[in-house]
Amino acid sequence: MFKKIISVFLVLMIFLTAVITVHADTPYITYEKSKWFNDLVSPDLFVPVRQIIASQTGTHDFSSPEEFCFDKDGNVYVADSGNKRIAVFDNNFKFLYEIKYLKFDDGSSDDLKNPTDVFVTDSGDIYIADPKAARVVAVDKNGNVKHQYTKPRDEIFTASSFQPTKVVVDKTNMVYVVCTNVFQGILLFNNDGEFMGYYGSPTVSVSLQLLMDRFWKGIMSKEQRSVMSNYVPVEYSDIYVNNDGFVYASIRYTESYKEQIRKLNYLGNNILPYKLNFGEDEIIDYKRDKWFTKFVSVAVEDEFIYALDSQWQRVYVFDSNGQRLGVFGTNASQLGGFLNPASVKVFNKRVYVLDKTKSSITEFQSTEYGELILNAVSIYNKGDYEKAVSIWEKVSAMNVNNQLAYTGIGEAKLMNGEYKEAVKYFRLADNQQRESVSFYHYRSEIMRKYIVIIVVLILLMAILAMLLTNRAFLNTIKRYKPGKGIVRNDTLKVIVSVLRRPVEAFNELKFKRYSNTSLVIVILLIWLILNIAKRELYGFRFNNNNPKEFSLLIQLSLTIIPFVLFTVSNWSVCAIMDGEGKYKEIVTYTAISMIPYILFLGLSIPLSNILTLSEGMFLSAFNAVGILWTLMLLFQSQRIVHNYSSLKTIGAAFLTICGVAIILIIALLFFSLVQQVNAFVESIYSEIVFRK
Amino acid sequence: MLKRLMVICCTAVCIILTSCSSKLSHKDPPPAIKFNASDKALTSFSGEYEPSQPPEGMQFVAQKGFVAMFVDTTTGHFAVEDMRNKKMYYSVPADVDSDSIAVGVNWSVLRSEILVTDVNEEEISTRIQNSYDGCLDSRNENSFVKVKIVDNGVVVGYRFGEEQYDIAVSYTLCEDGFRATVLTENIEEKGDRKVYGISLLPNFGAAKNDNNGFILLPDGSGAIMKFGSSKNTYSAFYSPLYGNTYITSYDYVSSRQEDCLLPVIGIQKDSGGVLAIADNGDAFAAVNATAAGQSSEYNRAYFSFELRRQQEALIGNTYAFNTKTVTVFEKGPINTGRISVRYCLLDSTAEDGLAKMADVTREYIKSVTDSDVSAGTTSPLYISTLGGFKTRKSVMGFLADVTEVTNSFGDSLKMVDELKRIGISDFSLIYKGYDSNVINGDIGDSIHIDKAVGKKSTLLQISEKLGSGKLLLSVNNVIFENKSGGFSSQKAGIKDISLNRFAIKPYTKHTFLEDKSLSRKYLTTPSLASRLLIKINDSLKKDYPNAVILLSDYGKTLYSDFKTMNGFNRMQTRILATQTIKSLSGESPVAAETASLYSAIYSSILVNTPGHSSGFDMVDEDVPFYQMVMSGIKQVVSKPINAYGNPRDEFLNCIKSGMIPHYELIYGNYSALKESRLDSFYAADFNNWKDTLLENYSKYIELYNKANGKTITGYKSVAKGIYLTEYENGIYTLVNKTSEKYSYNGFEVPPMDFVVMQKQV
Repeated sequence: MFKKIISVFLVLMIFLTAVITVHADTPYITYEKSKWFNDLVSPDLFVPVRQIIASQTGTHDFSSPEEFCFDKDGNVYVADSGNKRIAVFDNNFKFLYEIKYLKFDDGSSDDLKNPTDVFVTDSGDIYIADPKAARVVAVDKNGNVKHQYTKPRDEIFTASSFQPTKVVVDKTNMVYVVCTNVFQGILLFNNDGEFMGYYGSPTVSVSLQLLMDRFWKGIMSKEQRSVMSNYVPVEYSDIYVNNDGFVYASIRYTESYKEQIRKLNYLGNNILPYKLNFGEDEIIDYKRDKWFTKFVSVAVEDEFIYALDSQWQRVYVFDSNGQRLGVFGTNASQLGGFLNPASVKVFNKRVYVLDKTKSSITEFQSTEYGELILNAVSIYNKGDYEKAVSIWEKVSAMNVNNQLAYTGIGEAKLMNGEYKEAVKYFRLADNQQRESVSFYHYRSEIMRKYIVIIVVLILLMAILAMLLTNRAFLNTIKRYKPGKGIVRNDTLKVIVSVLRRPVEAFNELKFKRYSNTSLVIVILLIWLILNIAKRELYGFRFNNNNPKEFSLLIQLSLTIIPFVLFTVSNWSVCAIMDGEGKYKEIVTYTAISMIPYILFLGLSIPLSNILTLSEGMFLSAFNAVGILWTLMLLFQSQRIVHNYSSLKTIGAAFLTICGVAIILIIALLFFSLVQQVNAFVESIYSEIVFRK
Repeated sequence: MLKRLMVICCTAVCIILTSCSSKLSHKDPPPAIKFNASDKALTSFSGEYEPSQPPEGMQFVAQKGFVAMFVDTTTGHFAVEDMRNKKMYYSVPADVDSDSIAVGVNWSVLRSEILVTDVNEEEISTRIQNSYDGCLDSRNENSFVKVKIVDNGVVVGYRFGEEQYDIAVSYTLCEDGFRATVLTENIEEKGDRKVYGISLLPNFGAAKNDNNGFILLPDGSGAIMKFGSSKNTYSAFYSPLYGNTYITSYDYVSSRQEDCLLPVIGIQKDSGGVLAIADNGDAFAAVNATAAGQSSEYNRAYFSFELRRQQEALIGNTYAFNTKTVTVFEKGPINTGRISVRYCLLDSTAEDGLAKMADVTREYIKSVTDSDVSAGTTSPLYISTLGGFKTRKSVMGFLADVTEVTNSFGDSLKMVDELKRIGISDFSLIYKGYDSNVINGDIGDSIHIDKAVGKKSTLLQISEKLGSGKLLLSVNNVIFENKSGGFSSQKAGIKDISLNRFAIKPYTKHTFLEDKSLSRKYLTTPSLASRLLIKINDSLKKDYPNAVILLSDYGKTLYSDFKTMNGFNRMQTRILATQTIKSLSGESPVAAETASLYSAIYSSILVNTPGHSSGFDMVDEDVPFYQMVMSGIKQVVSKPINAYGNPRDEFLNCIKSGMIPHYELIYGNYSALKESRLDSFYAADFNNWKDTLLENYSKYIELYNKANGKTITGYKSVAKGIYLTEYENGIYTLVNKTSEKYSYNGFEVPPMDFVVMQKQV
């Protein structure tokens, strides 16, 4: 009953908040991101309502407007840079007045030179960043200057010039300023204009590229070094202060494409739980152009973060944890499209985007679907899963691809003890962590229910184990002689003896000059099949393979190809290192050595389906035993087949690996050459066709 | 005897070969392009009219119906008069010298009758010439404008001396306006520059912002650009008629737009208006509009035509380091046939201008429909469902393309029963994803039910349950993937200007770049598409006599095939498409998705009709112009309402536009659609929509019973978010899309709701 009341209330709320929607077929396609796909179509989260251009509001058009902000009453202040003014509008975008001139206490006055940002405090003070004038000023509506913030004289300010581009003020009247070419962080001033130091100092993220460049710089001449790019901490592109005093910052791009959106606490540390890539993965097109998300503006309302990307010209919506909820906007000369978006702001649940080229502000409002998601996330993040579930169900019904909805429903099911259902929903959500927790409970439930059968099964397995270790029983089996086949009884004996007493067994095989091509083929085929089976049948919690992508070539490159490369390389290396092994022997012994790994691989598949993530170490340990056992057998087989000392075996193994690398490089060069020749021929053909 | 046997054998072989070639051939010659010269009025009028005195510098030329023409023989500028209301319309604005914005080229453009896009193919340079600079004010002594008075009008010869080409355009009167015709057969090119495009009368009907009027653009449902508002910072409007021309495979697509579906542009002034109809060569036309403040003080709208095509082509492949794009030009003489625009003068005001434009367009459609069109069965609700789709699934550890069933015939049967049980008794069902060819991305010449989706007998059962004409079977005969039902995709697919096979690239929604994980698609040659459609229709009629064919891609995909032998230009494809649909519609009704004019003419049911325009910056308001035109003569069905983020809003949009609501529903395996990467059916869970469907159906049926089949005679926004639509029988709907209740003439409309009213006599 309560659920129903809540859902009715929410639906009513949605209808009451919906005002006029002007346009519904948006120029953009709203999409969802899943584990495997980045672009699953969904209903729109936000739709454009109107586009405001200044000349329709009672003043002349904007010229390259850079920023805007709302005061607490919803009045809008636009930093109209090209017109060197701050234009002020009421909450319905009717022009009120403009600030063009500054009046100082000493009676002097000055023009605004190139205002790039404006911020209004609750007390009505208007802060304007004016980089051309190298100052930030706090003025009243008549342009009377109350405070001025200029270049800090502190020695820790090392930049040659002071070009403030962004300014915000928190509740304690601390002024945060972002300056061009200042990489130490955000400049912090107190209300008297005194420079307090840097805040939220970003660091250079250590990457392989950085380490490599450091290395090269160490051995390069000064001239060579000068042409290499310098690694400096990233600059913030925008800052925002919310009512709780947290500073949110956006970064145009980072080398590692991580943490482009940050929530800074009073110490300046990023406390946003999500710390990975907030935008799209970097891609390189056929013209070798790099494409990556460039966040140029950030705004926050309630618990939702809105970030503006200037690359693909879209607004990203995140929850308080940094989890992506949706994306809207695109590059278009249409309502809802942008040409050069500069700033995003949110006021009363409406999103506003300022476009420099269009010289306009576009207003967006959430759709029924968007409203459902925002409500559900809000309730869900407060931990009230029960209340959120009815909304999540609606979201799921409106969009089969919404992963958050499945997680939300899964959480509610988990809380209600419906573990089987919870497992189902977490699987739909591709949420391995939560599925694992649900599965743990579900497994306990099953075990409790079928405890008798489980005990009986364990007893049966124990009896079987006892029988297998019983000599009399084994002797009975040994008397059984199978007919001719690919794998004969004596082959099984060989395998068992190698597994039990590897040194003796390999010596005996070497003595007999044993080789068996059929056995090798069978082992390799089993390996290939088990590898494919692992991909398809491995437990959901441990399986990170895309179920809709499969390449036999990749499977071969993980199994048979490395085997062939290793044996060929080993044979080549050992031929010049006085190794005694023939290729047939090397192949046979290597294949036999693989058996423990393959055996454990096969057993790990059912195991992965009954273990949870927290028990994953058992699975790793289990697989590690197989690998170590195989490595040990491989070492012994190599030593014996080539009649090497232990040290020489290690040396030969190292050279074998080097040999594999060389073969791979040659193959790669060959394929690259073929590709280039193909491209060349294609180009020539195109030229001929076009010029005909 | 032997001889006879030989003759019989040879005859048999010939018959087999002929039948095979008729079955598979895609080498049929393109149809001839005929010139439509009808000059009968599209609006009714009576009485005799007298022309006014000629404007200064002009002389009287001719009069016909209620229109008179005057011309300035030295400049070629002319004027036409609507003698009913004495309104004069000029090819160059009469007060052009008062313009204070246009400078340079824009100043000359404002004084030109034609704009010419010419290309020097060797130098790969494209220029836009205007007739003022090129013919009247040129320093070249060979440049001139020559006016010849003919029956009912004039022929103006434009000689561009410097560029060395001549273009002749005739301006001849119709009963309700005049027709401007480019005599393409008379275009003479003596120099290096070739004529690639012509814009006709870019200033005809131009109006300044002091006018209380608007420009109507046929973008999507229709859009109006009101005079008086500043749009300086926005781009001008340009959109090819009937959508993508499929000449260049773009490497980057960032926005979606609606197509211009009707070949009309309207200009409405304070009083009096003009409706321009691209009535010859429409397949080469594009709609252009500029707002006052952008290049001049005038709001202008006009058609431009592509006479030859050019294409951006890639040299090298995506792996090459020196990849570059080059421009490739269409060779040979102009083969477009004559192109013309008919300008109909309207005795209208800003209040009724839209309705009058719709009336004239409707009459135009009737005038070009030369045979009866089966009316088809009407339904107050359309439901689309998806039988299945192709997906990659693991089979014995290996991935294979299999059909993932979403709504089997059995599921649909249950869905139909369930809908009837809850009280939705009258509806049509659109079936998609049931044909194995379509599911696999192939093309075929008959219906092949995918066994995984169900049996033919079950589909027949559904058809029977729904009633005659209420099962719409979607067919695809244009767009295909690599395989093509036994046809080689090289032969079946069209070629681009560079004679490469043209491919439609799939795009990722997040990067706008080509999605390499999805297959490229190809377009069947026009003649093959036509043959396939006829055969599919035969197969459908034979096996499912009660079902209606739904053209999924044929009615909205218009392209050229640049094959050297029997290539088709876009106009020839358009003519063949119209002829093909006409041949289908003779026997039974035809339904078409997002139908442009050429396919809508002979279709009875228009599905997935856009309810909005593309929302270009220049545009002030969406209007249901397409719906107004088609009302009373076709059934107009909306796009699926439940695919929108604001489904309630879209339902109300159907009401205000006079469209029949349409939903997508899956009764069976809805969750199979997760990560299917389909662009539709992501919000189609039957159980979720059942109640909403019943509520909307119950509410809509009242309007349907009163207004179905009636023409919309008026549409206006009476207040912000309040829309009034009037039907010919005196029925009104008042739609309230705000969050407040609204009162109108004693009727109260609840928020986000509508009322149906009867006009009091």
